[in-house]
Amino acid sequence: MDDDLLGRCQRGDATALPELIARHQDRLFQTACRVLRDPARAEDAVADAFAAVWTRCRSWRGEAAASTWIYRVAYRVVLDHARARRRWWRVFARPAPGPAPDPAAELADRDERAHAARRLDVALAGLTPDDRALVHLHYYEGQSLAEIGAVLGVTRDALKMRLGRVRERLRKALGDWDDSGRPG
Amino acid sequence: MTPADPDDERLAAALRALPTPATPPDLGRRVQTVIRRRRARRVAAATAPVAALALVLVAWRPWAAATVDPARAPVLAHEIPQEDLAVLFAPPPVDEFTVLATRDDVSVAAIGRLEGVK
Repeated sequence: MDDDLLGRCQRGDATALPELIARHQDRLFQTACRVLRDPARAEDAVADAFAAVWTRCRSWRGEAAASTWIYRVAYRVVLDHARARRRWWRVFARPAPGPAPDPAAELADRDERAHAARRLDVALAGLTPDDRALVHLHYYEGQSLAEIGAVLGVTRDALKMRLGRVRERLRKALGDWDDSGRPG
Repeated sequence: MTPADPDDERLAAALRALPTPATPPDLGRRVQTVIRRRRARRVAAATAPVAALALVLVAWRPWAAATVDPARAPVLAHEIPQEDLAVLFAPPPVDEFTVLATRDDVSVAAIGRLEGVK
């Protein structure tokens, strides 16, 4: 299906693009949100990503599956947005040390699951955009390292090392977890 | 490798439990806008050198006309003062006595050559 749609895009069929967007926008938007941590910027990045898919579709030769190629192009665009943000952020602000605990919020937030989610979110914020993408694709989407490697253009062994390092960081940030997924 | 480890599964479950914003409904329209904007930028980038060249040519023409070498520039008759024109186009000054004397000398020389032949 994706192969057919991308082939139609290559032939300049403008009706194929909205179909392609409808098929992939949710997944790409979730990934962009996870990497950029800002829905507005994720929306910009995903719009740019689909525009890049349209303008570069002639370079798809069919070696990789159409969906893999689309995600590869989109992932690069999303990372470009993340890097652009980091460049400007370095100029205008100091690196953020992470959100300080808000006592009022701590008191209000009695729900342990919500608390764990917030700790996980803070831990994810401390990762690089590439590592956030890796965590999202592997744990959220449940993709194999081979599939992720094809999208990110990284070898499986390199991904395995990165994932091990990231997992350790997340575990340290989250502390001990009990069986219900709640921090101990 | 899929997350089979219990810790991995808990991490995956926690990640899926994180709130995720809904996909914006007008994404397709935004993509079309981005594509149109990029196309316009590409056209502008392609035509800019031509426009710049045309501008340079237009600016260069009066400048080129102003820098003609004055020595090579054609002089129009009405720009020359009348008295200068009279001098320029007058017959060359000839001394009449010099002409007569030259004519006599030539005649005498010719007669002398004829007498010498005899």
